[in-house]
Amino acid sequence: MQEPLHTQGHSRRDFLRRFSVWAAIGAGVLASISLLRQFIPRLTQYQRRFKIGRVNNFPVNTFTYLSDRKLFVYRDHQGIRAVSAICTHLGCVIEKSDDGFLCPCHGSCYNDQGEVLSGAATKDLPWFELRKDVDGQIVVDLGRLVLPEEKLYL
Amino acid sequence: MNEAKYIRRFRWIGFISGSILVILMITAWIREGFLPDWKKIQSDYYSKIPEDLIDGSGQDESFIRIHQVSPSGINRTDRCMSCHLGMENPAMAEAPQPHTKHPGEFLVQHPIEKFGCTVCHGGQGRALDRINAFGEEAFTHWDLPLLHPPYIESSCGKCHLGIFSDQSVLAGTETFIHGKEIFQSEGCLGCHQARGVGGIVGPDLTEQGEKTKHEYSFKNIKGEQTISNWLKEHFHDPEMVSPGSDMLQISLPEEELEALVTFTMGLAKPDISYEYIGVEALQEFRGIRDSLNAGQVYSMTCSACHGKSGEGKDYEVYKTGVPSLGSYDFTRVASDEMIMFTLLHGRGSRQMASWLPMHSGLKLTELYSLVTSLENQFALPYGFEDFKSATGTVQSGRKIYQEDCQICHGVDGNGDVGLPLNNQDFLSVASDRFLFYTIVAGRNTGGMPAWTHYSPQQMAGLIRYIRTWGTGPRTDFPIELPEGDPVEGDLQYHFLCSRCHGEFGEGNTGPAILTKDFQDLAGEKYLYETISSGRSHTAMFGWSTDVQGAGKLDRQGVSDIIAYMRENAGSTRDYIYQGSNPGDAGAGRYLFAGNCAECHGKDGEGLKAPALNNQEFLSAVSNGYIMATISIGREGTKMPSWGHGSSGYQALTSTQRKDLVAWIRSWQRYRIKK
Amino acid sequence: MSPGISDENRKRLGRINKNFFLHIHANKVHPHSLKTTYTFGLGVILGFLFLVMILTGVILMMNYTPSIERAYNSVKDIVFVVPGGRYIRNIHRWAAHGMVLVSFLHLIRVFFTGGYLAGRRLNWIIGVCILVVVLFMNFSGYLLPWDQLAFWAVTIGSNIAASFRELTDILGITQVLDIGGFIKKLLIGDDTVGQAALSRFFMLHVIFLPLTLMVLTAVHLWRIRKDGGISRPTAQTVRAVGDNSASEKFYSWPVVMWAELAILLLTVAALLVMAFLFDAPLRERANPDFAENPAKSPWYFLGIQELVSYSAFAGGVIIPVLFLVFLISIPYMDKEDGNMGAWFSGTAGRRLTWQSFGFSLLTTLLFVFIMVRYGWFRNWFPDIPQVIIMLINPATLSALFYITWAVWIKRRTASSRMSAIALFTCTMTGFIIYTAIGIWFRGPNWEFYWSSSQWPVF
Repeated sequence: MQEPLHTQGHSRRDFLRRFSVWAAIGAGVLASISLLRQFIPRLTQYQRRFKIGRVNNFPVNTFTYLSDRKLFVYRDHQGIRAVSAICTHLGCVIEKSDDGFLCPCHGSCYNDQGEVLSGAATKDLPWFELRKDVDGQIVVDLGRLVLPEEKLYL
Repeated sequence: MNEAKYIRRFRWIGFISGSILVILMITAWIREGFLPDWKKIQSDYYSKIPEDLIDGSGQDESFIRIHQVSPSGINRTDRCMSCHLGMENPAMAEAPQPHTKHPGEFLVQHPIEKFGCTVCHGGQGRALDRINAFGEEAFTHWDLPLLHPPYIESSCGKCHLGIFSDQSVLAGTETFIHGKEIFQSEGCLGCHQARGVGGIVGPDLTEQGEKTKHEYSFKNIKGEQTISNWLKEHFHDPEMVSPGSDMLQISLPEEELEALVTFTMGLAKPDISYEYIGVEALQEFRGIRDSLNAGQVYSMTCSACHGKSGEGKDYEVYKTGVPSLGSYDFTRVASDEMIMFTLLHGRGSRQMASWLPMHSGLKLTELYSLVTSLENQFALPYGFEDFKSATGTVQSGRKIYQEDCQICHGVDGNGDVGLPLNNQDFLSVASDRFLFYTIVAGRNTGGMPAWTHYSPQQMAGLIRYIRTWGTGPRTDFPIELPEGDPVEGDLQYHFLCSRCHGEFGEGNTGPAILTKDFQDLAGEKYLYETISSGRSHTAMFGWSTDVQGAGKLDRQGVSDIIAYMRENAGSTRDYIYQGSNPGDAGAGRYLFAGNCAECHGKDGEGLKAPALNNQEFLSAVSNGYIMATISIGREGTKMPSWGHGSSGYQALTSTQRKDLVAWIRSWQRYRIKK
Repeated sequence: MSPGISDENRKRLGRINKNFFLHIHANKVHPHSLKTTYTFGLGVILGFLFLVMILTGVILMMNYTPSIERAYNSVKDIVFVVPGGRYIRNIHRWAAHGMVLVSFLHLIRVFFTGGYLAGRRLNWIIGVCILVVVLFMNFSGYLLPWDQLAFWAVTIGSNIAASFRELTDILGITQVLDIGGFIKKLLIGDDTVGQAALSRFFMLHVIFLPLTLMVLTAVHLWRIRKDGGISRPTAQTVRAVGDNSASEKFYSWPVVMWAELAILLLTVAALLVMAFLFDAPLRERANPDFAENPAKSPWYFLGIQELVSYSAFAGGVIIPVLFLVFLISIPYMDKEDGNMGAWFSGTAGRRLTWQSFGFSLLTTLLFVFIMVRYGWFRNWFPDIPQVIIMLINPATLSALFYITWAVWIKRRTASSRMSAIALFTCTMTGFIIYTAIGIWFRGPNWEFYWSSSQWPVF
């Protein structure tokens, strides 16, 4: 009785071989993906919302630079606003100039409203939404943009 | 080309290159091994000291090694001892550098093992050659160059400085302490903050001494490009060094500026273990400090703008002008409340900031003491007793009355802006003590200034003159009243009294009565008589009779009201109350345009004189303050007395002045809480 | 092996065959391969530079700490304390720049001698890969001292890597699909250069990239042997250009050993001279709050930085990709195998090279002149859409002109080799010019200055 051994050639062997090869390939693919995943950081320093203190800590009619947050905060008698201190061209930190902002990397110029005047940058500086937290501190939300004229009224 | 030629060519190239290589390597070996300065200096040092003082294994070469200290609390590594081996050796006291012993006794308290060197001296501790160690040349790219005297004293300050504490001079820090004194007397903290105390107009100075050269802009610096020179030129002319700066020039002689620079370079919050930092400094970092007295507060924070003796700044010279606080006319018209309000709220849109403790770091007690001392600048030099024993003539009293009092209290005491003084009922209950203290302390809401410049004789004469309009008790007599119930009194007050005297007793058509000034002076009998009998010829009814069917007050009722008044006099109210305002704003407008606008601006915005439409100002002052200021003027400033008139300025009648007050008051859009 | 080999020659064969390390060499080598004016020894120099880098790198690695608090101090200690540390660091630095420079020179040499032809296509591509790996080895090492120069150079580099943002911003899809941000994050491990970047770069610099380089180098050398040794003219071209080399080969031992020894000693000597004369730069400790002005990426990326100042996407993505694609596709486009083995493939080629050089010089300098003197579109039309600037700027225009020139040459000469020479020459000239401008003529705020003495003081 040798018939059963001959059905479709050595099918079990074939199947096992094919399966093990595919299993190896599959394992290899998964291992590669998990390896490559390692290069994409999971935890970064980026904080979307953070507190910057109380309104009265900011001098009136002045742009206050917060170096750890890369923001300029402007406070006047009606309210308070915050603009990004990162150049929209290539991400250098901009400096305050007499009538606006200036990026030292490629000389992009902005006016007091963050609008691009000249240089390599093409987008205006983004102004961020501010709101008051329960304890009275101002919270900046980097994920929400507002127009330059909008301010958090005191 | 054949093989041999190639081989020969390559052999030549190899030979020449190899020779160069060998020569260079030997040179490098010699340079690194034998030529470094520190090795030569060390062997020089060891040759100078006697054999038996050398420790070590006793073999010659092993002495020459790099010496290094890395105190864990200091976060740095210093190798200065590799050249400066003689630092701790008393025998080297007369030796030349670099072998010389460290001068003074500093190493006793600051042993090298625990402190290293650069934490005091600056410089690059990791370097092993002089130029790199000093870090002064630009190509060394070192942020913290060696500090030369006197600036090295700033390092002492970084750990030991207590800005607000009295410190005995630490040996060797004379320049630094001198700088601290200058800092405390120039009013720097008026605009700058240091360790949590001060204003926010200028940058925070707490860590100014730790800033490196790259955090300064040397664009406009003429002299050498060092931090100390930057600071000096900056003090000399801040606008030139930092265009757009509002900082005032500090005109001091060179030596004083050096001391101030040394001090400024010592302002720091060093990033080292707390064990190293002095107790005063540690406490100040946390906001714990001894309270300052009023004089210290003034000289540290106010004097830069308001002047060292409170003289203020002229509008012509200084573009926004600063009020004079040392003016007699100001202090006698401004109440404690008003000054405190201004301190706490500032003047928005002007440079006067809010000095609330949470912004300024000053304590409430310090603010109170400041207010008290401002108020007491022209305090009465004598007491009631001296007055009682003095004598004065009616003539002299009349003269004083006509010169000073008439513009408000009217001819013959008829009353005008001020209350009528010739009222019989008034004079019959007002004792001499009452009159004396009212004149001397003033009544703020109504605008009665404090007159402290009269001698006891003049006061005696004045009161005698006033008494010529009616007699009255010379002293307070007691009166028997039943126990009053303030709750009842509250009801009665609001039912009967408030429509004239104001809901909070701040005054309306009737004078302000729930003020501390008044309640302190008015005795029970005064109050009782006034309430129950009234004041004839005025709107004050005698409430012991039935007035218009409102029911009458018996002794108990009056006592209740008196009890209520006593309880609520001087209570903390939410607002500073304006008091009554009987003028016509419409007429006042034209008067203002004609007389005041030239200096105060068309809309009171302030051109050559303070802004009057300022909301904080209007919430801080009573109508009486405004009336008194207009009527009396401000001596020492350009504000003329409109009650009397002066050269070039015509006197205004009391009606006109009332109208002006009404017009100015109309600029108030909202009330700011105290 | 015929029995007719002499004992002497048998010994020579044995030297090479029986040694593990020397095994990579062929037993015999064609004399043409030894011609200095043919190869200039550039490949061998590159190999030895790599060896020097490994040796000095290992010593440096023993004394270096890759943490942002300690890196700078550890480098200072290398310079001040480690015996000979100053020299070792200098050698490492100058050898690093040497590797990049020599890689480019080697690329140029191989191209102009047609070394990618006749079946050497794969080796050419491996060579281009090696070039990219060498650039990244240098870039990753650049960050390690953690001083102001390093920090801001890598910050600028990472921002150039995010150049894709210009395109996604124009399309308005950045919030949804931020390719530029992804690439940047992949490169430095965070939004800004910090410890993540340092650890990542350290790993790349000491393990991953060296291993990759070693593997690629090994394959590169193996391919040379498989392809028949260093490229040289075929018999036909030999007759055409008049090369008189004998067809007889030399035994590798000892002549190749002498050649390599000579080059090794020469290379190391040159490095040591450089190390004596010039110190590797070390500025102030890295401070994220205070940017260097101007903040310049390493010199070999300054050409790209210059282009990026015109348009981020054009200079940061389009041109580099175009450049690499061009390099890799050269052996696919040009298959005229007969041109291998002679510089410029003859006098016509040499003339064409000069012409292309001149053409590229003129057009590139013209664009730069307009840009510096008169500005570009946004200065004349303030509201012009960014997409126009992205597509039409000196970077893209230069590329366009070069390509047009090459196409014209192709039409005129009907030779793919000639057009390849034309385009390659133009590209290299442009690369050199833009890099030179970025190195010497750009000052604070990326303004044009004729010399650094004119830079304003801050």
